[in-house]
Amino acid sequence: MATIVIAADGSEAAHRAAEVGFEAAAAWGDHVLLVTAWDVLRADFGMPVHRIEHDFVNAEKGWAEKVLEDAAAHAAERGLEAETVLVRGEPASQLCRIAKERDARMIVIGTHGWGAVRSLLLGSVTLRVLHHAPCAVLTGPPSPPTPFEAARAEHTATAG
Amino acid sequence: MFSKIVLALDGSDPSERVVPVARELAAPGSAQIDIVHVRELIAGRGGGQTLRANEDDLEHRVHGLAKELSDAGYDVHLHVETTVGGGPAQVIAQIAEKTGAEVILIGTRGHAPVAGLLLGSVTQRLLHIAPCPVLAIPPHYTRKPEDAGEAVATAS
Repeated sequence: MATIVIAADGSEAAHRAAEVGFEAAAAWGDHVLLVTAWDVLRADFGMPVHRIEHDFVNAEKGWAEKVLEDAAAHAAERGLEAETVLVRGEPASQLCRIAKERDARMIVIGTHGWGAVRSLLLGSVTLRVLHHAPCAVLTGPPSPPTPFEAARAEHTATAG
Repeated sequence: MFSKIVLALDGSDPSERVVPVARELAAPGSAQIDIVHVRELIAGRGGGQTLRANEDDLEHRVHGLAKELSDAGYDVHLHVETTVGGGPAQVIAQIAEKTGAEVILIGTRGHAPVAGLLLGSVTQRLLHIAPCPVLAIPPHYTRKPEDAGEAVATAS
């Protein structure tokens, strides 16, 4: 039984990538590890915002915790009991580090996160993960849903 | 697990790492594997010279891999396409669209002439235009198909 690391950031792209990751995990009997990375917002001049307003740290961490909770609920909906890991730090390096430590089969991540600007070739975190991943990287379906996905969703709905 | 896979092979060593992964991913039974090899031609040359000097060797290698997968019982289709002036990613994406592929397998790098290049240009472009999920395999990937084989056997 191998481990699949799935990146969760609350974005639509991450959700769609997770769908594919859950399917793979279910088919292979793999263990799912959901990872959300957060960090403190920094002001333009480098000063951590929490020195201005301490509640910012709590808000950021709280939001990340909620993202992870939602991802775990999504996994449960697909019949999977996922392990969750909340880490502080740059997402790409954290994902690669965890994947290496856990000898993951693959990292599952959306093509873009929140900055889903289609003119960008790839999200910056996704690009960094692809550069440094210790394992295979599965990037999620493109957004918005393709006719293929719609057909597949329909097929899964009628078959399930 | 996937019944329709596109396998992008450029004949390089890193790209061959994706073949065992295809076996890991393919649903037991007769999964359809579409192998895509793109011959890049240099634009402007009347005779249509290939970009790679050893193009024939590369294609021979790809044919060998296609046969390997076919012998293993998969429904293999080999597509050798030609493109002039770049665009392998476009060709791969189009074939994936046409065949209704569920996933595209490709090496993170292929023929990487630049030392330290971590992500190949074709892979990078493909990730942007792919009509389905893409699984990118690093050049040092060594996982064995048996890892998945067991789980699949006990699941079914």
